[in-house]
Amino acid sequence: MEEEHYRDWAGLPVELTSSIMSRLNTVNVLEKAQKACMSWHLVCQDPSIWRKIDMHNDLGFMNLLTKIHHRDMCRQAVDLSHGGLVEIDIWYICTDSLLEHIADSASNLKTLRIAMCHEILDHGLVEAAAKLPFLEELDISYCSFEVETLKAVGQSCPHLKTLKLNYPVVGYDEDDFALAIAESMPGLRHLHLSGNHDMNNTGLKAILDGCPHLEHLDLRECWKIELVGDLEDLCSERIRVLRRPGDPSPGPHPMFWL
Amino acid sequence: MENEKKMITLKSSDDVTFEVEEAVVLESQFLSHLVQDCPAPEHKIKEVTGKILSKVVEYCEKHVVVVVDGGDSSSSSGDDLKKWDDKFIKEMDLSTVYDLIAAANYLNIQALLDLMCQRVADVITACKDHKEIRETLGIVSDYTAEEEAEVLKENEWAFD
Repeated sequence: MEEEHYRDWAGLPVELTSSIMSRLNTVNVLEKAQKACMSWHLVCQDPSIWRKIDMHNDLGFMNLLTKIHHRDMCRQAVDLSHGGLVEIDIWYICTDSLLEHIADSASNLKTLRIAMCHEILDHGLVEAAAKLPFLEELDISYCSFEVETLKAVGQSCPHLKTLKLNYPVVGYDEDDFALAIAESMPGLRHLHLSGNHDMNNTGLKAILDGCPHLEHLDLRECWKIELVGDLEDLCSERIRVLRRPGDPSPGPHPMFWL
Repeated sequence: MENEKKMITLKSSDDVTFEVEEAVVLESQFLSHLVQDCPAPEHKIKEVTGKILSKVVEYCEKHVVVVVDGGDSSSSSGDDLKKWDDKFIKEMDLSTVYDLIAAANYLNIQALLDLMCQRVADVITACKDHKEIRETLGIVSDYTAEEEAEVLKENEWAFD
């Protein structure tokens, strides 16, 4: 620190402070940064830094009190966004009522990541999707939604381009869920299906037929799929990024086993 | 591409001069307008010191070279650039980061500005609470005692 004069971090122009704040995850903004000084607190009240809410955390298992605290922070962030929210990752802690609040407050939402949220029930997701017609990306990995729910989501969200359904907690009946995707989500570009142990070649064929724009397909650890012959040709021809069942995979998130 | 490369001289507030290729100058929107609008061989940048301008030039030279070499911006050159950026910021104290934010903002070099703002965000993330942020960045709280109590209460939770 050979420099002599004082750097006034609190006095940075608003747009620069805003650029810094929007790179922090939600917990760091609410619990730390906005408390540092008045000018930062004011910047953190501005909807422009709340277009994206990142509540994804690697705290691992949370006790109930911490979960409730994080849900409250999420609500606060959603309210601060004043309808401008476009992307939210609320891994592990989202509930039906929080999801309802998000859907009611953010009708322009494009990305919804609710992986490992076991407290969201089927009707909760169906009702939320009905309020999110512009949704383009949905991550429901490590969840247990029924086939009818997937269909309803596809019908409510015609712009859906990315679906992540890795390591579902329920076992689907063979290819029912694949057929639901093929039938209701024709606009998909990216489909992540790692660890779907029940899916077989019939389901894959249906998806390739039903989703003509598909360009990224992750089938790692889908052990019933055999990529050979015509099916392999079709995949290689159509899919730009293909992850095959036996490709190296980091495996499921450690919390999957809890 | 064998043409003589056009050179431009930049002079800092404290009269340190840097001779750079025109392509390097074009990384800055402010400087590219300046060079186009007044085609003098030397440009004084009175808002930026020599110490900071040398960093700006170093950054822009690196980024120009990689884009030209990479052609289609292949991933390996992208990775190399990322590594270079990481090293560039790792060795930097926070006063320099602050001055570079101001310089990148003034000269309108978006990629450099993004890199520096990310560095500050990483510093904040590494702090355990708002007090440590104040200490690390030398922020003097401008809250009154009552306001501070109010703000802290907004997110007050029992963790224990």
